[in-house]
Amino acid sequence: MYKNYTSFYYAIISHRLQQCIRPILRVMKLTALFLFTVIMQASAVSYAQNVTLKDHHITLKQLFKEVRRQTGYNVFYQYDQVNTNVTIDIDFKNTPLQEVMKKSLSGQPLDFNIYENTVVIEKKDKVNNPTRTSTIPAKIDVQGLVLDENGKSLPGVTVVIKGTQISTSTDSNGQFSLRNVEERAVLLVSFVGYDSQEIQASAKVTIKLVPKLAELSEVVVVAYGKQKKATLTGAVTQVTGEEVAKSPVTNVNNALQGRLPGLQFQQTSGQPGSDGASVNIRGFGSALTIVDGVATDISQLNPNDIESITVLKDGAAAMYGFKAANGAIIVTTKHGKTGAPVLSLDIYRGLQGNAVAYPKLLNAGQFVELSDEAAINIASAQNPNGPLPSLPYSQEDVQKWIAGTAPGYQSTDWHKLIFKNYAPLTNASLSIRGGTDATKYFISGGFLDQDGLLRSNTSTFKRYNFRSNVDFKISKRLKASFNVSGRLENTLAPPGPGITDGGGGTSVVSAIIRSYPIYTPYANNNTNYFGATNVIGVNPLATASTQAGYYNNSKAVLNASGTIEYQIPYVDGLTASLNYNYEYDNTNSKTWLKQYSLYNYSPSTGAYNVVSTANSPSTLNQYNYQGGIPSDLQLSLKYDHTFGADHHVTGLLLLQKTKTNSDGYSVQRNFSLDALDQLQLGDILNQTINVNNPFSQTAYMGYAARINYDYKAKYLAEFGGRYDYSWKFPNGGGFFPEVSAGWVISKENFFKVPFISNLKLKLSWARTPDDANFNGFNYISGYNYPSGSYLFTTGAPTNGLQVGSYANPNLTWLVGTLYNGGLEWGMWKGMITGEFNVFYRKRTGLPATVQVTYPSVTGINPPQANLNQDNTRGFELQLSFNKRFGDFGLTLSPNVAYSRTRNGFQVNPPAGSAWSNYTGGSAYRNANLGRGYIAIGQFQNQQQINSAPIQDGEGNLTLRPGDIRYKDINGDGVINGDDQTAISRGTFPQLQYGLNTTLAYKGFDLSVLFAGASEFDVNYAAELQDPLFNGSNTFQFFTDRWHHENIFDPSSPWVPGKYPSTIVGGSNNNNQSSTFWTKSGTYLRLKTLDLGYSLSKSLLQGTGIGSARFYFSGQNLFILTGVKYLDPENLAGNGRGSFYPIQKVFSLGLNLTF
Amino acid sequence: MKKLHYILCLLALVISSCKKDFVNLQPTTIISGTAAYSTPSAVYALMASFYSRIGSNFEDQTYSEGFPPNYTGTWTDESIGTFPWANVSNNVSGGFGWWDYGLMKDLNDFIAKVPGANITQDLRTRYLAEAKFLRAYMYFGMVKRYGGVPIITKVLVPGVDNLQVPRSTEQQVYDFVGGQLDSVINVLSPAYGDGSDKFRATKYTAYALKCRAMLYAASEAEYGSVQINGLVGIPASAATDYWQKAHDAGQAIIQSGAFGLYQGNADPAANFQQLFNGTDATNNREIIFAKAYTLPNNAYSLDFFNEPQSFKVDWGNYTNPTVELVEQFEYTDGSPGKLKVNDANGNPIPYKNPADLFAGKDPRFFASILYPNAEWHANGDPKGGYIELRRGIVVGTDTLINEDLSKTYGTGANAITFNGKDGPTVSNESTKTGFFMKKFLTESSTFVPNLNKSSATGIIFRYGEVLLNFAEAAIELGNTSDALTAINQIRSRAGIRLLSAVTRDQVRHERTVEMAFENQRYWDLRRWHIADKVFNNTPLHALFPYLVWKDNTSPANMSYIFRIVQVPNRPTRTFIPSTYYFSIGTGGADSYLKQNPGY
Repeated sequence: MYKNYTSFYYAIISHRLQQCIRPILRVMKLTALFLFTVIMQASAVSYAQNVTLKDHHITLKQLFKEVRRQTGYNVFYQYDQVNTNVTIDIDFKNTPLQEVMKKSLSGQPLDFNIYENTVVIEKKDKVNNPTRTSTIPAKIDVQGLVLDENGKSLPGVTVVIKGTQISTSTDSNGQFSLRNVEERAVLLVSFVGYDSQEIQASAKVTIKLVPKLAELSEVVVVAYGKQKKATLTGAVTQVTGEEVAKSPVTNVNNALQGRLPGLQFQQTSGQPGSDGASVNIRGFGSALTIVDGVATDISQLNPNDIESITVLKDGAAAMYGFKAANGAIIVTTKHGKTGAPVLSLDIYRGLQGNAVAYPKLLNAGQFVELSDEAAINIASAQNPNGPLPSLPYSQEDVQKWIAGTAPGYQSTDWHKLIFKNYAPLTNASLSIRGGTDATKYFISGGFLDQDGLLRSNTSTFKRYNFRSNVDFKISKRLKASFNVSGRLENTLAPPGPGITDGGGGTSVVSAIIRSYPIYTPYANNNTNYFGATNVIGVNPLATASTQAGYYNNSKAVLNASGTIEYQIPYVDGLTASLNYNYEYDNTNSKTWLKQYSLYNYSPSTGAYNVVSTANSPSTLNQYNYQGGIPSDLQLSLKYDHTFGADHHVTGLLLLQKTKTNSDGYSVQRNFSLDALDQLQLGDILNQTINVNNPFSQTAYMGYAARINYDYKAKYLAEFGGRYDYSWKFPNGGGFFPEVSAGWVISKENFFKVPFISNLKLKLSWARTPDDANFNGFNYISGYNYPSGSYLFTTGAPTNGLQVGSYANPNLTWLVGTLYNGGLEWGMWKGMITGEFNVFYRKRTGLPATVQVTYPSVTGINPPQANLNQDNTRGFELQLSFNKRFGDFGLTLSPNVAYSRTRNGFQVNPPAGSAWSNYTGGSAYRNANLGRGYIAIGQFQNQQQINSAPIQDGEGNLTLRPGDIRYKDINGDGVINGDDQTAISRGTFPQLQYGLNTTLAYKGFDLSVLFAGASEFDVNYAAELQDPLFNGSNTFQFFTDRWHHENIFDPSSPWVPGKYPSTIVGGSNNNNQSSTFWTKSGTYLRLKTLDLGYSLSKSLLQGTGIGSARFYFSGQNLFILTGVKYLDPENLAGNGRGSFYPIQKVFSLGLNLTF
Repeated sequence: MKKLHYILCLLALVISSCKKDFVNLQPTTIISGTAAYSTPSAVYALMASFYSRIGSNFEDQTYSEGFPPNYTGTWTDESIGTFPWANVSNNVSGGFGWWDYGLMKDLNDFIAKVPGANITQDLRTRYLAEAKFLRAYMYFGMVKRYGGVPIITKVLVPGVDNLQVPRSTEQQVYDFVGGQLDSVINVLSPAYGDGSDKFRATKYTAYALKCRAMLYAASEAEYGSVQINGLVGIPASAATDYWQKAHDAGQAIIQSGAFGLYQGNADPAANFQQLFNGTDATNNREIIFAKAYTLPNNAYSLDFFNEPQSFKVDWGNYTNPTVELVEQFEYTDGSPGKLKVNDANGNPIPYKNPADLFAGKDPRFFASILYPNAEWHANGDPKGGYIELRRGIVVGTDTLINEDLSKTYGTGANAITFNGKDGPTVSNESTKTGFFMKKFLTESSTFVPNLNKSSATGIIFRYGEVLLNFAEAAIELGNTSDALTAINQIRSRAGIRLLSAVTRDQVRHERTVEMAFENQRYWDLRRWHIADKVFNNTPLHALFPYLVWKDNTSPANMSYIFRIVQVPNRPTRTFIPSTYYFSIGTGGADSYLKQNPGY
């Protein structure tokens, strides 16, 4: 209390003093101020001291001294305002102090106040007569409230008294207060994403901020810095962290789809812990991902930590050097803000289920029937008039299975037994953000707990994130920041191949399709005994259960980064900074394959007999891997200055050195006693140690320089270049320049289209080197060790030493040349904005080996050389409509992006003929082509087969009605490899699009994101192409097949169906790659739907809660596509269906700030 | 300005100190060319690499080092592969290429450099000879597939040498192999005395290879025909010379007395089984050359792929011997091996114990093949210790089958599953023929047939083969007494009645039986040029046992009957004559090579 009190009267005494103690003032709580005011009033009447004094020509100085002596009251005044040498005459006898002071100062231009035991003396006009003088304005206390465009309070808004350094920021209720503001002062109110406003100070102010016209004032993160969007010349898109956090996704990558045009996506699994989409920019290949200046993975970040995500698509990424040859995705995390600490809490809980249902498998009746049919079909194919072959299931049994009523003839739905429909997902995130001018902080923690769909709960993912970003302003010129972040990831899954594999293995999904529905999950329905199935050692229920063991993978990542920035004196706008980053990650995984048995039940003896034993003996494989960036050093000089009023120049000089390390090994032991799953308890005999990831290092170094110049923000230019070194080419660095230019046409005087507020043309050109796909140490020729091993004596292997491939010391970067042209526009004050970019990238010197140049008898194993070429072209269009209709706010932002890669020159084997060159070559044609036959329907009868061109190489004798007919492309009367042609475009979409819509009405907000893709194909394969593939069960849709009217009578007439007839081992003819099995993958998916409601201010009053928002969020809610049985977005199983589907998620959440 | 100056100087200093050495890393798995020949252990490691690179089991993949399994035996009449994907082709010559001129280049490089290596003169001489042996082995592996191939004996240098080396004739390649072996036979020691005798080239290894190679050359001359100017085929006139060379090479081994037939067990069947699945080759007199294995990293998966249904881990069942092979095994009295399934009237003969059907068979049958009710892992194994094979149950005139292993017939104590626990089945993974392969498999009760857990020694050359090669060469030369002696040695060890006279067919028959699954049949069918006759839309057969049901009787007291049927769900087999020689890759820079006929 005393502290507050003194602060206050010091403030009255002196402006200068006040400025010194401003930080203290600013942290004062409003409540304290109010309290103080009350005391002030009380103190004004609490004095009661008398003075006795009589003198002539006493100076004020002497008087004050005497007053102090007699009353014990201090007398305060300011030297330069109170002339204490003035003499007066006084005569007081036990006069109250008040009276004494009044009389003494009556002839002086002075006045006084008495506070508690202090007398404060000031010039008269200051205390009593604020309106009397114009030179020193009056002071007022300002109480303010800042609202957003929807009338919601805005916390964290910075309020500065213009022309001073006095500032504050709004609290969690959007309120602020400033004491003793000059009445005519102007308050400057600013907030990220909003237009700054200036407003005259008055006691009560309410400020409504208007969102920024993004096109003009936004600041965009670029390589090693930031730039105003208005003067940007590169192809850059940005999304805010707020938007990213809206999707209830576990993996940041998945939240970006549809939001950032030019970023291409494919999510290949929905399994907890491995559900991240693969992302690349413009179809170029894997992009550099950067978090706060450090090249690192972004997928497992806490979405609530993200301030913004920026994608550099063209030469703008070139400053990062060859690592960013395919562009860069830059994540900036949140940093502290000046103001009181704001605590934010975000919690949601969701339910996940398959976005596209797993296709139904045959039930027992269908299965035994189809199995018999397949056996009859193959037998009758070999011997059309022969007797019925040995059938897998007797006709009587088939009837029993179809009826399904007799005991022991009940069908098992394995899929339903293993998978549930919905599994929970919980995410919580807590952060505290605040700071002063000197120290700002952002500290957060996040927690994610995701369950998989296995009923056995053996598939889960947990993640714990923390981050601490602290910024210091040490002096006017010196700044520092220290950021630490880390996370723990824990993935639990069934062991071995896990839930999915490429198919055919013993993974859970494969086990489900391989196990016949005629087997029961438990022997004699006794849950203590897993039943044996047709596949030895496999029972899907057991495979998914904890009794089969587990795969438990823990990953810990620590990232630390320190920056010191120094504003160099004497040169305005020149800053030097040093940044050092360190990252360490450790992966520790345990694969525990526990032995378990499968039984059958013998009713005669009542015994459960072991039919087979899986995972025998029990083994534990423990894998440890360390990776990371032991050092990443960045030294830079930055310059930013405006010459005159119009010439704005920024510059950058940079040195970066990066090393990465990795090292790992695994140990495996067998367990004779497997009650405990600890490595040290295993048998040391037959222990296996594998160095899966032997020690390896990479090193990179580069110097970069960049100059940006703009004239009146109208003519824009950027020149940059980087001199790069890679460990793969230590003998030669390379210089790679980058140039871009922009012209803001709308700023020209001749441009007179009033509704167009912004029109900018951008062009860029860059050389983009890359060392990807080059092997290390190509420049060395030597002998590889170890290379195989051989036993010259029993029990003792000798490691081999083998001649390596030839060295190519001339090997160097592949070099891309990237052109980008773009147009940005804004209309009706930003109601409609848009950007259109076209690009073309040509790459030469891609690595390839010239094997084919030398006859094979030379045995030459040539090294990589810079040989191949390719090019990629495409466009992106992004539009945004943003408008308020009263209380109703609407944003619509559609985007579309197209990219296609073509091969240029490719090293192909010299073709034997023009035809084989045409069919087999890859040069100068679209990359990613799938080849096969063109299906022209199905044979309707034997006559058609007999008269058709030979297409099976065996006189069409193997063909049957219903089989697929192929087109004889070259018309030579025979259908063979020469009749194959390009029939599909690969599985990665060339066209991707998105539509993001947000609606706001009073407390409600709705955000809907559609995303989709086109220009790619799904090629059904294996299980989805071939019924009873590999002796497994099959999908129900295959029952719509060509078959005999009576399947047990091959001479009965054929009944047509959608699919060819079923035959054991599959039909060579029908399993060819053909258009019959190819479908366009085009889809449109409701990616995210987010509906929120914020409680009104009045409701929250007095709760201590600044804001509260409840929301419902849905992810992947529905999909429109022509693709059946598969998720077109998820083609991990290569069209086999053995995948973990992408999940749809329904979640309910709550955001709170305090 | 002074401060600025300092700062700029500092920055300049930091930047200039960052030389490109920063990106100059040291390789962790590459050593220099000079180091490779500078120490004995480095040269030893070079040799280890050469031996290890002679392919899976020295190019014939007998023991399934690779994945998935692929055995030449399943392409012949010996057996079929059980998995659904193994039945797709009815083409016998699956074909597996062997065109490793990369290894050839490294061998040629070694042969040129080892005389200058920093090791003793003795070692230089020996390693040089071993490398030449390996090179001969490589050429033999190629000539038996492709006929004549380009003979390269030095490292070809682009721009200096003619790289388009044409194919030599088949005869030239065989002569090169023979000549190279002759040159090392006199250099290589009969033994090294360091425990490595069985696992690297010795004098007798070279003889054994020569014996086999010359036998192949002689067969080609005798039974093949010369095409495309001798690139494939050998003139018939050369036959006698090659038979003689094969005979002489065999005789050199026989007369050395260094080897003999394995006779470690008094029981002939157990003896024959032990011959193949020991881990200690050093004390096995029959082994001339073998590949040693050891856990954990130098092991293979033969057991994993071939264990019968109820004993396997995951895979298993792969090699299913056919009735055709089973009937090749005679009875010990020398009578033909036809199975006594039906009586003279064509009615099935009931057998109390299914194993009784095989009573009196050649002991090698019991060592090579698992049959209904055969003992297996019987030594204390909890899984039952025998092979149970039952296709179904015959009730009156009905035959009842059910592929569901859990389904039983009968009630109470007399209930029994339709199928045996090991099959046979039509659609499941178990055997399709009613038999499993036994040769090479490990029977120990503690052995778990998991992936990469087989480590029994893999035999490449054994004395038994030398005797059979010798016998074949002798009979072709008209020297029946040499042939008879050799064949009777084989039969005597096998425990079967000796012959009093021998014909060419009997020699071939003995070979089929003695070396079943040993990767010989496939090549024999080819070099004798009989494959197109043996496989001409030819069905292969399975043996299906059925339990004959008697009401109110324990199944243990019922009997079995057998039916021989065409292997279900498997096409017939046909050998296309043009595939006597494999296709040569003539793509790209190899387009100058002359392709074999028929491709």
